Amino acid sequence: MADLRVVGHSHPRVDGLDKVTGTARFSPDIKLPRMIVGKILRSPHPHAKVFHVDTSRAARLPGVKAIVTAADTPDGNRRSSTYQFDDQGERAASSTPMVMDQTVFCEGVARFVGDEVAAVAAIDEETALEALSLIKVDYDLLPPVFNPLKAMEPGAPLLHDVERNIAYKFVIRRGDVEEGFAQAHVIHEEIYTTQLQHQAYLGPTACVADVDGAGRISLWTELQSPFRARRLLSDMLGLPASKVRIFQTHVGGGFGGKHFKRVQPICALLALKARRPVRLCLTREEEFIASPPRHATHIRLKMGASRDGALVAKETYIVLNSGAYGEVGPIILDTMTKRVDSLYRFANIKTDSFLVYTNTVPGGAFRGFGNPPMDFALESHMDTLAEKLAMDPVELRLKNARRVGEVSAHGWEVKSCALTECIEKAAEASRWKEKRARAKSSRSKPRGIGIGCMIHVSGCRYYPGFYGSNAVVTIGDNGQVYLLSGESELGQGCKTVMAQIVAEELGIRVADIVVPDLDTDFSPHSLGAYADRTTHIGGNATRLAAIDAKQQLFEFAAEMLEADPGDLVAQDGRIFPKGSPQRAVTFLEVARRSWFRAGGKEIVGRGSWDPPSVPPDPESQYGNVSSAYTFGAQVAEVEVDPKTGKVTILNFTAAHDVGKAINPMAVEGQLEGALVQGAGYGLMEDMVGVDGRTYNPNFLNYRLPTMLDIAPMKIMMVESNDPVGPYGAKGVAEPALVATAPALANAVYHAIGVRITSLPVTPQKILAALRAKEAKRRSE
Amino acid sequence: MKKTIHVTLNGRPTNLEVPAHRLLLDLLRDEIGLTGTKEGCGTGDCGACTVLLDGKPVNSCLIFSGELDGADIVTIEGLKIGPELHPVQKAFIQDGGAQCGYCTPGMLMMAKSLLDENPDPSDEEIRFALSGNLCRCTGYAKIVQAVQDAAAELRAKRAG
Repeated sequence: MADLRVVGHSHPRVDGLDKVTGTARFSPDIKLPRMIVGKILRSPHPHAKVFHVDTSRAARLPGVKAIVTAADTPDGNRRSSTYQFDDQGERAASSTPMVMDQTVFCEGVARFVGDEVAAVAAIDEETALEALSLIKVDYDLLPPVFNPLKAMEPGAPLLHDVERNIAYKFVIRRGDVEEGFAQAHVIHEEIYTTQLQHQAYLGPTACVADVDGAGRISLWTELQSPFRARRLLSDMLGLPASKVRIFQTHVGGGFGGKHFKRVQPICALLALKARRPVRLCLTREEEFIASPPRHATHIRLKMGASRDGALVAKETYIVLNSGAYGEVGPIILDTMTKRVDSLYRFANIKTDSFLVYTNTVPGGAFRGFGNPPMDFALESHMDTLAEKLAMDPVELRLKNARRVGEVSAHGWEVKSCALTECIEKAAEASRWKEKRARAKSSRSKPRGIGIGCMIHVSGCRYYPGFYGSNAVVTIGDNGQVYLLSGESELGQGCKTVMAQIVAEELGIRVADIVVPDLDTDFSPHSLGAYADRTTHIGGNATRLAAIDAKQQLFEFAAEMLEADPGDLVAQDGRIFPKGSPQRAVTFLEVARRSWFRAGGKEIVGRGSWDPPSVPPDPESQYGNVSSAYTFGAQVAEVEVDPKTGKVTILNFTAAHDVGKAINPMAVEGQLEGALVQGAGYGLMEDMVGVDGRTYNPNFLNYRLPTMLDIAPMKIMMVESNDPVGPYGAKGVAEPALVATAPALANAVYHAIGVRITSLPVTPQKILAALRAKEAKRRSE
Repeated sequence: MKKTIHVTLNGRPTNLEVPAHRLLLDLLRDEIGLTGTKEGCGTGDCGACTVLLDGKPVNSCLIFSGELDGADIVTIEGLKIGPELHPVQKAFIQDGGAQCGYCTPGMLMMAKSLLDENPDPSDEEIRFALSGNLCRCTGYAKIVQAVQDAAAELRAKRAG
């Protein structure tokens, strides 16, 4: 793209000054006059009938202003609702419907340790906590089930009214798997398991709710999709949408974990009952035990390859531990079931996958959305196949890599793809060949190098209705430009990217643009931050809004210049006829004229963009789910201490097809952040559950990577210039994490010759595998 | 039981009447209204609530107000040097050291304390000094870079 002046250049965050001075307000920072404090009472049991909740003693405690239970919810504890539309805004016939089984409070049965039973609002935290201790709940214990494989067996305790606890399933058949395996030169089968990983955003989820005299409720909170939340709240509270207003505060990180939570409806109910502003803030422990982490999974994978390395058959059996509820689980299962099939040129596919209820914390969205566990299995498998074929793992991947112009077995139309380039660049920059060939035996701490590849989406459509984004650009009396977007700033930097797009189109500086915080009363409707849709989809809407504003601005400029509006150019804060920069008027002069001249009109540019993607057919599951697919390759080099099992990361090399980097520094930040989060997933992080209880619900025992765990990261942005994305851009935030864990596991294998098939790859697992290997060698 | 304490808060002498068991973090946020200091865990594991107490970094979620009589406290709101941003604040903006920004105030206070003691730290020294401050967004690389750039600016200022 020729001559971009702002887009494609690194720009500091537009909200940076706010963030470094402590003035940025996050949801726990909001304080209103007369505000009181909310606290939630949670089930201590993994599975129990809640047959009586006695709040009378708590209600008599001085300072208690409201107590709510399921009995206080309108229309008997309403269920959460989807945000999957048909053209009328009704719940759509989606190819992958969400399971709407969450209510404001648990419905007569507590299904996990942490399930919400009641809530209190009181004048201070101490009083609220004391009130919780005075609520008497009579539980009737029910037999629990924690292991999803056990939960599927006949006779297992049932959590919901579904057979074998199966909340959702897929049966996918493409080509002929039997025929494929018959042609295979090598076949490998393995079981992989992955753990619960928590989003562990540093900013806990809080909500402040306030009700005005007309019964209209306002909420200050942190959400990835405020418009979905508005609909959800209006559904769950039995209020019309016009009575619900959501102010997005600064968001202390999301990573998928700030979608639906019970915090918001419970806080709203407390405020409605107390008729006072209420703040409800989750503690770190509550975040761990009752916010939806990345699901634990069980994957059995069998693949075959021909002598030349072509992948000829893939057979997969997946069990996704849904925890106590379903919610977004089916879509995560969908991702696990289908996504990696488009990474390589698979034709023969057989997959059976199940979302299974257990009495554990319900899982939810987390960066990568089902893709990281499956990519770990696939990419570990690729290495084993390469070894069996006596091929270099890089060669095997290049042999099968997806290419531009192809349509995958599931109907995905790949319009831009630099996978091959990413693999080659990552291999070259990491000195792959040299390090692969290196003799390792001489070192006391062997070193290894491993690769992982990935595919992801830029938005993912499962239903026929609106999946797009709206944006509004207005121009004020002093030439200041306001950008209203319905997309959510979580810290990823979308406000800055959107402002760059507006600056590019209007020929002004980013500093001239104001990007207000999202307010559902004023911001235009968009779907929000998930599925890597924000830059790709929201960026297109923003660009169209800026172009619309520019055209209106040119009408006024044309009067001043006595020129044809179609001939004008906006550049460096000036507007002039093409080829005649000396005849310019300034942006400010034109803005003032639009605002002040008799008969003038405020410039309001509108942009709306709904991606040209196709929801899969509900039966065949065939369809082009995204308007752009992203690809990447990551190489990790590690050192393993065989005495302790400790893995030290020596460096990462990541080459990602980002389409176009609108803000290279921000893209780099996404990749670096994801590599470290991915290293946490690969090596360290694990929410340990014992009998349904989380044993490490704090940062002391749930270890996040710290500054001491990081290694040099070489980031390479490969620009494939997507034909649909704004300036060619595709999503980057989620893809960046997907291939990290398998790259690490493959590097560990290369270093010490043991394959760890269960995440995280801990020292304990490595030592056990080394001991087993040694025992086997001795017995032979 | 309330206790009267005299402290210097961000350079200003201040008398405060506080319940002795009130945590410094809550004192700052709820009673004084300085919400720039963040609570990330409440158990001293994440560093988001770092402030300087008598020039040393502490987790304000672990300090009782009753112990503070005579203390000198500096929070993120007091990091600016007059009207100017502290070099470490500038560098965090320029280098992309903040994403969501929730860990940023604590990270900045820890970085300031490091640079006060060690004007020319190695990357290793920065990583060691800031290892008690968790960040989930950035992957830390740009934070290390920002601290290096701030150190260079501070050294240039001192030299100049």
